[in-house]
Amino acid sequence: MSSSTKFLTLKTNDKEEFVLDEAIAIRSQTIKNMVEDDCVSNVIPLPNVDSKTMIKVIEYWKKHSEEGISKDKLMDFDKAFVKVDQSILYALILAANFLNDAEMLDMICQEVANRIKGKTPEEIRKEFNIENDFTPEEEEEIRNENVWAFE
Amino acid sequence: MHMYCLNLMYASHPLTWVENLFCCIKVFESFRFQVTYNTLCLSCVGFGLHSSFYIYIEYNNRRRMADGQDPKIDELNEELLVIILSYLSVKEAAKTCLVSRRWRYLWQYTTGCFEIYDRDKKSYSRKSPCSFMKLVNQALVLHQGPTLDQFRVGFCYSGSWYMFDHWVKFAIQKEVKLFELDLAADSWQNCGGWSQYDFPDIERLSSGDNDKLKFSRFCSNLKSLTLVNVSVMSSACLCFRRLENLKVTGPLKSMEISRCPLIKGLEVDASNLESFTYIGPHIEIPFRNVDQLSELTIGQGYCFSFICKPDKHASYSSKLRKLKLMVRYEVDCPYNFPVLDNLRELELDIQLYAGRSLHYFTLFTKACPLLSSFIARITYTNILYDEIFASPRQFEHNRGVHKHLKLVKLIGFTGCVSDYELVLHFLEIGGSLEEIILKRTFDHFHQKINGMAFIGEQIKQLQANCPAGVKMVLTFVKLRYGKWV
Repeated sequence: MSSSTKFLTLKTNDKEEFVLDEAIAIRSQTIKNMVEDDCVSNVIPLPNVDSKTMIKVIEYWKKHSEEGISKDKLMDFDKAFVKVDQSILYALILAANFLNDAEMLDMICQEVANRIKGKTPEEIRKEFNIENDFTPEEEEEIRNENVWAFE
Repeated sequence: MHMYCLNLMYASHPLTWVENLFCCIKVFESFRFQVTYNTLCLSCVGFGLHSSFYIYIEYNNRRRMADGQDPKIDELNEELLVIILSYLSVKEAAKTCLVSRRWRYLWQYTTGCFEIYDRDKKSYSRKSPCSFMKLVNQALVLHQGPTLDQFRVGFCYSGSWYMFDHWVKFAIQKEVKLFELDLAADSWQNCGGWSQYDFPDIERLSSGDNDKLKFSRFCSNLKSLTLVNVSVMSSACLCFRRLENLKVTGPLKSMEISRCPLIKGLEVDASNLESFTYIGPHIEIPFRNVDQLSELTIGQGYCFSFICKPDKHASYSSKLRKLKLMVRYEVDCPYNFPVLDNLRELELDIQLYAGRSLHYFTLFTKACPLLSSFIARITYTNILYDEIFASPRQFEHNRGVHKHLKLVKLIGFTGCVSDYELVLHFLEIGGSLEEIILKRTFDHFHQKINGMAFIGEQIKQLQANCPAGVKMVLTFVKLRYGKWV
C-alpha cells in the first residue's frame, strides 16, 4: 500500500464491508461530500445499498477508473454491464441515486428507457409486471385526452 | 431487498412504542426484514402494534408471491420514473399514460424532446392546418414540467391566417436548447408556397418578471434554432450566446447572426435573401439557393476564410454588390482574390499593428473591376516601432489603373506607413478617382502615433501626388501654428 493511497470502508445494509480506494469511491458524489466534509471516521454506512448491488457498482467504478482504457472498450463494458435482469437494474438505479453517481444513473436509466421504447402500453405492463388498474371507460378517456401521442 | 413502509403516528402513541417496535422486529427476524430507522414511518391509529405488524407481513407475503422476489419497476419513486421516461421522446413517454394509474401523468413531467410533426404521411391524409394546430395546442397544455430539452414542431403551411407565437413562447417557457419550427415539413412541393408568418420579436413575447427570467435563460441556453418557411424580420435580433446550430429557410430578406461564439453549423436556404451578416468563427459555407444575396457582412474566422480561401466562396461571392469585411489583419494574405465581379461597394473594418502593410487591399480592389466606393476604418492595436518609420513601398504598375473607383474614405488615418502607403497606392491606381477622404480618430494607438508627428509631412506629400480633379478632404486635420493637428 503506497502512503498516498487512502482506503475507505463501505458497509452495505446487509452488513458486508467493502474496502475501496478513496479515489475510486469518490465517484459517488455522496461519498465525496462526506470525505470533503471530513465526516468519514472509519466505516461509511450505505443503508440503501445491499452487497449484491454494491459488487456491481464497484465493478463499474473500477472499470471506469482504469488508466488508459480506450473509449471503445468502455462502451463494450457498459453494454455488457446493463445486460442484466430488470431487478438488478432497479437496485442499481436506487444505488446510483443514493450514491449520487450521475454517470451511472444516466446509463442505467437509458437502458430501462430502451426497454420501454417502441412498446404498446399492454406490452409495457407485461414486460414490467404492472397491473392494469384502469376501467375500460377510463382508458377511453385517457386515450382521448392524449390523442396526439397515439396517432 | 424490498423496502416496506409501516406507518405509526407518534401523536397518538407514546414514543416507547418505537422501542417496542424494534423488539418486535427482532422477534420476526426469521422473516429477514431489513428495517432501518428511516424507512419506518409510523401510523395506524386504533391498531395495536402487533395487529399492524401482522397486516404488514400479510401484505409482504402477497407481494413476494406475486413477483417471485424480484423488485418491480413500480418500486422506483416517481422522480426516478420521470428521469427514465425523459430518455424517451415526450411522445413515446406519453404513450405510457395508459399503463396504469400511477403512470398516467408521469410523462407530463419529462424533459426530453417534444416533437410533433405532421409528416411521413401521404398528402391526402394530411390534417388541415386548423386540426393540426388544435392537436399541438392540446398537447402543449398538458406538459407540466418546468423545462424541456427540445421542442420540434412542423407541418405544411402556406398562408397568413395563423400565428405561431404561442409555440415560440412555449419554447421560451420551457427553456429549450433546441427549437425547430418547420412550416414546410417534409417537402416544399406539397406546401404550395411561402407562409406569411413572421418570427416574432421574442423579447416582446416575454413581459412578466418570470417571463423575463425564462427569456434570458432561453437566450443563453439555446444551442440550435431551425426556422423553415418562416420569415425573420431584420428587427428580430437573434442573440443566443450558446447557439451552435442555426438553420433558416424561408422568405427572409435580411438576416444577421453575430455574437454567437459557439456556432458550429449554419444553413441558410432562402431564395429571397438579399442581405446577410455573419460575424463568428469559421463554418462550412452555409448558403444554398441564395440567388438574390447582394449584401454581405462578415467578420472573425469566417471573414478570414473568405480572404484566404477565396475558391471556396466563389459560388456566391461573384453576385455580391456590397461587401463588408471585419478582419483582424495578422498574416500575409495570398495573392489570389475572391471573385467579386459585381462588387460596387467595399467596406473594411480592420484591426492591425501600425507598421504592417495594407498593400493587399489595393490589389484586392483591383480584383473588383466595378468597385466604386472603398471605405476603410482602421484600428491600430499595437505599434511595430521597427516598421512604422519605413518608407512606403513602390507599387507595381503592371496591373493598370482602376476605371470605376470614385470614392476612397479612410477613417483612422495617421500618416504612418500603413495608411499612408495605402493612400499613395490609391492615388496611383485610381484613374477614375473623384474624392479621397481622410479622417482621424482618437483611439489609444492613434493618439500615440499622432504624437510621433508623421501627419504633416505625409499630407504634403499626398497633396503633391494628388492628380488634378481628385478632391482630397481632410477632416479633423488642421494646420495650426505651422503644424498639422
